[in-house]
Amino acid sequence: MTATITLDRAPLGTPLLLTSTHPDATVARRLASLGLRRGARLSLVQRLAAGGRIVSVSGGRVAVDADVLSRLEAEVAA
Amino acid sequence: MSEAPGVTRTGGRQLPISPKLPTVRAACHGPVGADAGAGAPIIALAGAPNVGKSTLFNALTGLRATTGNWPGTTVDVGRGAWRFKADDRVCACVECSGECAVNRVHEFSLVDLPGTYSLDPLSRDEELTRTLLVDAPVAERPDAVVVVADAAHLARSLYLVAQLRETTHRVVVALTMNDVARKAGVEVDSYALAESLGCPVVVLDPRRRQGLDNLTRAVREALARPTPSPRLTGAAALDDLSRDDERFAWVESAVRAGTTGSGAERVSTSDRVDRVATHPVAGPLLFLAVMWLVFQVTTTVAAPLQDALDGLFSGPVSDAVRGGLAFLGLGGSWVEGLLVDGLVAGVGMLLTFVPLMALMFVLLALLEDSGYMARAAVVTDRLMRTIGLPGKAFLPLVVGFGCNVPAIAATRILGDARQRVLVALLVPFTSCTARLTVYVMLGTIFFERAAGTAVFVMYLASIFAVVGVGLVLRRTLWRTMGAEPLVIDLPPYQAPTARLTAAVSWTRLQGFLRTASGIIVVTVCAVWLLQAIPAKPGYGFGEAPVRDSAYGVAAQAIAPAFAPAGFGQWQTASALVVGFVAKEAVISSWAQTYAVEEPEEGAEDLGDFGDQVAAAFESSSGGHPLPAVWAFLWFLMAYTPCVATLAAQRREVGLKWAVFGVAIGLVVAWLGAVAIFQVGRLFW
Repeated sequence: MTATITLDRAPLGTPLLLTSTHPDATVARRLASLGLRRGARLSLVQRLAAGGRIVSVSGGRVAVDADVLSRLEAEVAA
Repeated sequence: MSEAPGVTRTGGRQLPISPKLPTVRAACHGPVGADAGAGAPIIALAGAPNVGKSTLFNALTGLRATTGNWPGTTVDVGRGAWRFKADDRVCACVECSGECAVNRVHEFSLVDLPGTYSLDPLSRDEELTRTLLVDAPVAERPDAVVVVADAAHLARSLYLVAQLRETTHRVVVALTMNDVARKAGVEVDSYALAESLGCPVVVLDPRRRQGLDNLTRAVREALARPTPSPRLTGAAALDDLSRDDERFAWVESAVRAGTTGSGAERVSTSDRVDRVATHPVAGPLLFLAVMWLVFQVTTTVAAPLQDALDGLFSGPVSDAVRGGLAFLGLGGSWVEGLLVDGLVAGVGMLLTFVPLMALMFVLLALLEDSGYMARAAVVTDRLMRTIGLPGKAFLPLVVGFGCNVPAIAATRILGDARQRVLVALLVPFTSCTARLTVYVMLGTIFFERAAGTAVFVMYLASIFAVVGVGLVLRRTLWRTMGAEPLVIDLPPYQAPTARLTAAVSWTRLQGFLRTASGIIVVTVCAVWLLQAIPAKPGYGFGEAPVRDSAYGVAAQAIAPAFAPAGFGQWQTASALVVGFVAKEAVISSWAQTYAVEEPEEGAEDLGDFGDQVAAAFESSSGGHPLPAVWAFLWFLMAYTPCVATLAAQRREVGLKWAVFGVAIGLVVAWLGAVAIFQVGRLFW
């Protein structure tokens, strides 16, 4: 069984598989519209102030703050 | 005003959101001539933000595009005529009038809907799109929907198509950003994609106006087909989560069928730039440098142009009008006063803003088109969140330190109407360069070598006022405005195009001139009129000194209100009244007031003027001139900057909020000034 980790703790540059959705439906829908939904392959490419990250997903880049990242779980992609 | 800001709006066509729904057919009436004729098919342009939708709109409508205010949402919806020739052949007419079957121009009415990723609204902008496409009666919906899709991020763009296939809309997909996709290693097969989506797909480049004819043809062919039945997907029977999964699966299937390659793992040029632009330390420094550049350009570069225009109107133009009136025997009459001191001065003042506004709009367009604005929003997000605003709200506030008028216009970068209103109310507290002239003058008179420090203190006071008023409003009228999490799409950087920058800037400048021209000219004329009307017997129209004019008498009536703040002289009050029109006019009118009162003192000499001002503050403050000067400076910083700002506020957030802003400014200015003087007099 592969260990999951919240995105705020995930390392940069590692291919990840998103395994959860945000508990807030509105935020979850916004994330999904940008490609960040359960099953999506992603990687973190840049640190931002206050723990935020730039996420690479579906060929695009999304800036996400630390609070949102802490509610999203992922596992290292095969 | 207890309701959330931005839910009402003036200046546009009134459209209730509920229960009577706005419709594309009923609601998008722009000025005559801007839109297509009655009966033209209505085509809605929809799509996610940052996919080139508005660029395509401008490319299809040229500069005929107009925007209409949508009350209830405070959303700008563009509408314009999309004109085209229906026949590709060359006509055989000997002398073609343009009305033959081949050359006749046809048109669609094109509606540019607010950017949205889906038909499930998360903001007021997106609510409007859903209302127009889904909730409006079928007969009042657009005849076809062009979904603008980003080829580089196709999956994000197609969810909207997935939802539209469940409605009766004719859909055409316009595929943009194909060059960006190719650079990222993504190749799109438009035929395979069209087959998978079940609707036409047109590859185009709106920034270079390529592929527009193909889009026209695709839309005409779509209109020739009957309205499609809603696609039966089974989604209606599912819960929200399952329905989303079904749609995303359909989108992924279409993307797999229509694309080859993926740029997901490539480190792009944008990534390399973002390592600096969004870096926790370097990012804010770069942002400050960009803002400093914007500030410098809009103040220093525009200044000589403004001076030249000012000189032109106060010199040759005024002289020419005087000469013409003298030729007609009206020299020295009230007609000369009205035309020269009223209309010419008013128009001149308006036009002096044009270089400033043009430069600001160009810079904003460049920042928007390049993709940097999204990064600026990221690096300022944390700071602005303290007053409940997103990071990009910082931009108009910074611009406000140059001039409040373009800063108000810059609030358009904010998508949320409530945020736009809040920032538009905070901008006047940013200390513009016009106020700087008064700071420097009073600093020189009262603080001599410490004048620079005094000016710096005023800028700190300005920041304090912005944050303080922002916090108060956030916790009162804006308390229901939730804090948004930071989830921002970062589009790839791209080189701005001159055509697009010019078109966007010109459209915005036209909008400013249309709205501001009336209020500025009327106000300047009103001030002249008040100064010309004698308030005491013995004077004819235009002959009374300022003290005995209606203007002077009004200033004397207002002056006691400033006594608790230590500057209750009528001359000072009159300077503040003029300052309401424009802070640029404060010093000249102030000096003129003393010159009229005591001409033998030779008030043209700034030294004497300084002595008179110092003596006046000494007298009115009961021997505490320094607290009175600080109180005056605070008042000058905090109350309404000028009528041009008021006009800009009216345009951007409506008359009600503009008036509310004036009231806030006066209250904050007066209370602060009184507090400063009353506390300060205990120590100085």
